[in-house]
Amino acid sequence: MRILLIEDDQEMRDFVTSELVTAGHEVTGCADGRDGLMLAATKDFDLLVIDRILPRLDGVGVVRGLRAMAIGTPIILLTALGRVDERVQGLRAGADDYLVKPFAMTELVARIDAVKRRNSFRQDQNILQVGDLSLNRLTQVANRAGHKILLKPREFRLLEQLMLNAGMVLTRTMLLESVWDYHFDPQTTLVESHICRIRAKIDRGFVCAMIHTVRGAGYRISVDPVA
Amino acid sequence: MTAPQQQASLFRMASFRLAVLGMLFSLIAAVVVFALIYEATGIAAREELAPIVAGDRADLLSDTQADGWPLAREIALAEAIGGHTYYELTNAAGQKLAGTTLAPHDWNHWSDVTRLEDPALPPGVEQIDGISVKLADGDRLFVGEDASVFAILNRRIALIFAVVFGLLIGLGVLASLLIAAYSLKRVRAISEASTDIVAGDLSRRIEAYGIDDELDVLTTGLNGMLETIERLVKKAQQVTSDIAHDLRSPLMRLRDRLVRIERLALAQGQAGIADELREALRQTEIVTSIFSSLLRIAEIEAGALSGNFVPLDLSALVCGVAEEFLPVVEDQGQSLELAVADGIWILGDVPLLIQMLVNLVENAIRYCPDGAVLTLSLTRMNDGFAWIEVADTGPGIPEADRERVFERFVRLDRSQNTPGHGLGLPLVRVIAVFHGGSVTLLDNAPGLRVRVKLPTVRRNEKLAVDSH
Repeated sequence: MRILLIEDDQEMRDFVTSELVTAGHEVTGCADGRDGLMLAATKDFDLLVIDRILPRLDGVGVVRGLRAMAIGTPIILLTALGRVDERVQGLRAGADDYLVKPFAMTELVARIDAVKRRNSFRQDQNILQVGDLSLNRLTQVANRAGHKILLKPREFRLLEQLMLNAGMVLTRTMLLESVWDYHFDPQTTLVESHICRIRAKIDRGFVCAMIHTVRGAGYRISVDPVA
Repeated sequence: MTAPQQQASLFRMASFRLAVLGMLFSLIAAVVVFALIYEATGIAAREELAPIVAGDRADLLSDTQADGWPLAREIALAEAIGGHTYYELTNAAGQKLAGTTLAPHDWNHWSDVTRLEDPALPPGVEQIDGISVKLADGDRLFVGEDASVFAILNRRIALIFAVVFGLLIGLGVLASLLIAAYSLKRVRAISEASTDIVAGDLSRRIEAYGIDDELDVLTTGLNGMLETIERLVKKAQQVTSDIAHDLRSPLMRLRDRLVRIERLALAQGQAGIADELREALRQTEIVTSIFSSLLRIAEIEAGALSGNFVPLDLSALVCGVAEEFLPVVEDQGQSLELAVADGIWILGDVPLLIQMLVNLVENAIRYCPDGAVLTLSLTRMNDGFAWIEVADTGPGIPEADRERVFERFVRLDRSQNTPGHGLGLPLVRVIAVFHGGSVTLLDNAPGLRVRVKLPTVRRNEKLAVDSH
């Protein structure tokens, strides 16, 4: 994927660049808002990673500028500011995701994959299918190999998120945000307990498990146990 | 936070009530003045007519003596001649002997007989004023004069009073309604502005009319206060943003370095160092988490969060959070009981309230052993507050420590074995206070009972806010 990274902190930029290159992306770096806006507007990128605070034109300004020019390239905003209203402001300006520093690189990589997928994969299908597991989004009923599986509302939302991002890692934070709309870190095993409930419903009694725990990263649903 | 203003009605306005009171006073004054004038004309009539009546009576009595005629005949003669004098002669038993028939009247007292009391008065006569005296033979003789002039005068005065005061009161009602409508309009503007400000729009100001009346003075004062509040909040937001930026950026760089060193160590086969570095990474995550919580508390305390207050169904919110944590509670071998009253609405910030509820429930889960019973209840109280209570059968908190645990970083478990950093309850408190409520810790005997009081909105206030 061709990624434009607009970040004024050079150390940070170098590190993120090397990490994303390792993850298989092609990265262009840029240190200020106005140049970044020009680059994003004139060259072809698959995704933009933009810091919130930049010289000359701040990150939200860049997002607004691009959206005003009807450029729909997916954008992830990085920020050292963590206020809830700032997050809302960033998303309202047109960003696709919002990540608060300090974050783990696995988090950024997972979010890049998810944002990319959200923009390329049809999100409005009524039936989601992964291997022999299917999920009807209208009736909220799952089916594995002909066995009907009833889900509670939250279990449905969790399974839906996993299946929409089938084959990709969803971090705990991503699940908390997308499934629960919690923008803080619960001190209990909230995500783990719910994952456990779903596993009991869809994996118990089957030879191969579909929900995989990716150590130090998150959860992934796929037929194949290895990513 | 203030509850939304009740819809003010025109007739409940202080200015209208004061005007009505003023009009009532002037009406009483008018009645008193009219009564005094009426009394004065009565006295004037008596002063004018009494000598005439006395003269007529003396003439009549001396005429009977001189002519030797019976009194009745003299009376008939006098009345036949005509004039403005009227006579009535009755015997001791009250039987009429001669003269004009009049309505009963006082004996020995000056009295007036009006057409109102006696419709049988001679035509053109409105009122007869006179006095009765007892004659030597026991008969009673009333002699009265036509006092119609005074009666008509009184009637005209009454008419003038009615017209003048009617007009005054009518105009007064109209004027006070206009004044009340004007005040109401301006009070509504202030009330609407304050609702907007509570809902987060700190840039909102109240419009002044530039006419220097008392409401303009109030408006200017309020706008000045709002200016200061907005400036302080902006400053607080700036400060917390600066702190966040200045701490999060180096934390991020520290994290990156640790990750790179960990990789180097692994590449050079030094697994021990890599393990140490992973632990160091975990510690930076704890620092970040503490820092985020602290910052959140500071932001709420400083009012730096532009509170996005909306009317919300607290009952549904509480049930929702309870449902989320049911699997966690089960995994811990605990149980959760719910007693949530339906349809309790409050004005609040949804993400903050969710975080508060999560903190309350997680505290109970984390500090209670297997088998503990947690109870989450929501009750509507009569004082306009709702109580959210999270009770457990865990170890509880000694009474002496119950206030202390709201201080930052206070953890009662000195071994620090349990996870967490002692910021859960302080956060619960600032969120409750931010919503105009409070938190208290009580003894659940055994266990702990945390009670959060939040002000509720009545249904009509909710609708008022909705329509706004």
